[in-house]
Amino acid sequence: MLQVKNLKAGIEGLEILKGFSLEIRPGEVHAIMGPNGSGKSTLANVLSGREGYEVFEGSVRFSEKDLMELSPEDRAREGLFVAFQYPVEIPGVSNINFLRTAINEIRNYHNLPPIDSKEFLSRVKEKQAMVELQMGLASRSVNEGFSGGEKKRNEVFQMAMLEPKLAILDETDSGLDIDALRIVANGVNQLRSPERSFLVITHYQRLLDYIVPDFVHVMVDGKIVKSGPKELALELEDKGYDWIRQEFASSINKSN
Amino acid sequence: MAAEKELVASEAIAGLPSFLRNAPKESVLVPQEAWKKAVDTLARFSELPGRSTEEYKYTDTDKFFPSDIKQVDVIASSNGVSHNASVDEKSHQIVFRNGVFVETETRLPNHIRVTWGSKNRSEVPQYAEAYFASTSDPGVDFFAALNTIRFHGALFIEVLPSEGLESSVRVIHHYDSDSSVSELYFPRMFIHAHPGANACFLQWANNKPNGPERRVVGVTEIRACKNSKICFYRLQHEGNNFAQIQDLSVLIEEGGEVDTNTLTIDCVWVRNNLSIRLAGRDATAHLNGLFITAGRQHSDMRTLVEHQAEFCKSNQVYKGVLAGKSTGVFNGRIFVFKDAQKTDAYQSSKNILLTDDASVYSKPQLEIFADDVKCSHGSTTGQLSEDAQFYLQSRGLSKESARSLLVSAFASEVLETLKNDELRKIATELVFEKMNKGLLVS
Repeated sequence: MLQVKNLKAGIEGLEILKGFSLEIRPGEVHAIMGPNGSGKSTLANVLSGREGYEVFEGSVRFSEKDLMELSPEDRAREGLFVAFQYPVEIPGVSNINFLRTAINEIRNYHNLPPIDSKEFLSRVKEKQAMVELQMGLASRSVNEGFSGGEKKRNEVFQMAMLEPKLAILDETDSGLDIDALRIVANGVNQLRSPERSFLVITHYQRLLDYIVPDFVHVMVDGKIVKSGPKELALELEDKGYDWIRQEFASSINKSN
Repeated sequence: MAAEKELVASEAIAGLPSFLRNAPKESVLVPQEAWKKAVDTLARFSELPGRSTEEYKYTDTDKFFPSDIKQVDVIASSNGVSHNASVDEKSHQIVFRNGVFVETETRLPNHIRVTWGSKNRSEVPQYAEAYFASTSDPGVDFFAALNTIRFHGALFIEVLPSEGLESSVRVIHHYDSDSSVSELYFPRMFIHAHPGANACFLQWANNKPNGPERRVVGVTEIRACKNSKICFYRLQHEGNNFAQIQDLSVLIEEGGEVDTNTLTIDCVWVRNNLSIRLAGRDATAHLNGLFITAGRQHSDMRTLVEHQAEFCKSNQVYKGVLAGKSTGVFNGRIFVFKDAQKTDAYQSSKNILLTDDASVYSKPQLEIFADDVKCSHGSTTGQLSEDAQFYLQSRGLSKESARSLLVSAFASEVLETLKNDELRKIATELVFEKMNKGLLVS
């Protein structure tokens, strides 16, 4: 589904991703952990197509397409969804209206007719309940005046509405209390399916208690330095990132 | 027409058609004093208002009149009147066709009465005689004065108190003549709301786009008597062969409330003057406006609010969306008189530039001579938020849809102030239609 090979990318000429590689197959849940400044959010931004980020080297294939050649909207239409760390507030634009437009433009891209109104509304109702998003929040202006937790739930709500193939959660757990974390994770778990994959970017192991990953990767200085099963996350929680850094540094020394 | 006298001494007014330099010695409708004031105003000008005058600094009018322009005769009742036009039985409306008041298509509730005056002073209703041309100040604006001198017919609208629901009346100007020369119109309208009366007016023009060049210099005067409530909403979307200068003057007495909204959605060249006088205590005025321009369109909105009495409120929100190489002007002045204590005045002007070549001039002015008031104003000009645009794109919206959604959101603050569902729906659709034409996409 997603193949990232030796990706070197950054912003304003500064290389932040320094040879990042990762492969995600349908249905898999991958977690990326790493200390501050390791390039986790840059990865999410580069994959989403945010302006200002440059790719210097490497390739990203998504659903048999060169992802880097696609506009942000075409990435979404191909089935990529990014739940942002800092969702923007858009006064005056109602959640529902923009989601209807989004769904219809995605459908149009796949040569499908616009979504039936009834079907749309029942989907709204169902997904709203799934993330315990208060009735009324969905029809309000996008994120305007939402609490931190409501914003993140709204991200998962949008994800549920758009039914992507691959969802990237960029530190969705930051700023969430335990209850909100449980709700968000619960929403994500309900969306897990053999066709849908997830890339969960997080600082803390805590989220992975709720969203249990198939693979855990540790990112340091712009690339993955260690991969393992879900137990790796526990080990990191226990020992911190320093031992990985040391292990990584000594492996470089050895190879030199 | 009686003997005409030379209005303007100088021949040097470039761009002013020669027939406009002359005027009859007196008006058949306008009281002597108001007439003289208008004549004196025009005599003061040696050129059409433009860059050299403060009031028209960003709006040159020297190309306003095409060289082949003729004033359209709106007196002859046969002119352009269509008798088989479709009539919507349900709605109340006042209809003009090519400047002529069409009584047969006009339908009003019992408490709203109209009189078309064109021939002599006796046609001017008594309630209007005392105030006529006094709410507007022809000493200020060249074109309002020109209208006072040149108009041939005026519609007097009288609103009486009514029980029950507020009435809304559409004021529709149809322009569909096939004239071979450019046309000039001087519409004049007067709305008099009696104490406790209540009505909403929605005015727009249906302009035939492929007709001759049309120019409109209009004056509307509103007098809201004690505790009356009037809405006056104007929608401008006449297209490319139509340029206009509109003057709206409002006088509000004690406890009265007037709600104005000016929506300029698709106009090649427009100047809107709005002056409001809060003349009695506890009076309230709402002034809202939205202009959307593209290509080489030009929109100039000018407001003046005079707080003359204490405990009055005024609230204005003006927004501009500019694309292409279009230009916009907002000039809003609030004047608080010495005795107007406890004034509550607010003004906001916000603009979005969608292209590098669009420009807007925004000038808020606040002059306060009372010492116990609450006044604030703000003006901002910026671009659409790139973060918001990206967020929407990342959900699958095209750049165009994202921008158009953000522009609608920006405009919605003004559209939502329209208390009339019908006009709000029409205006909202027009905003979308304009954006769907791709005019707003850079």
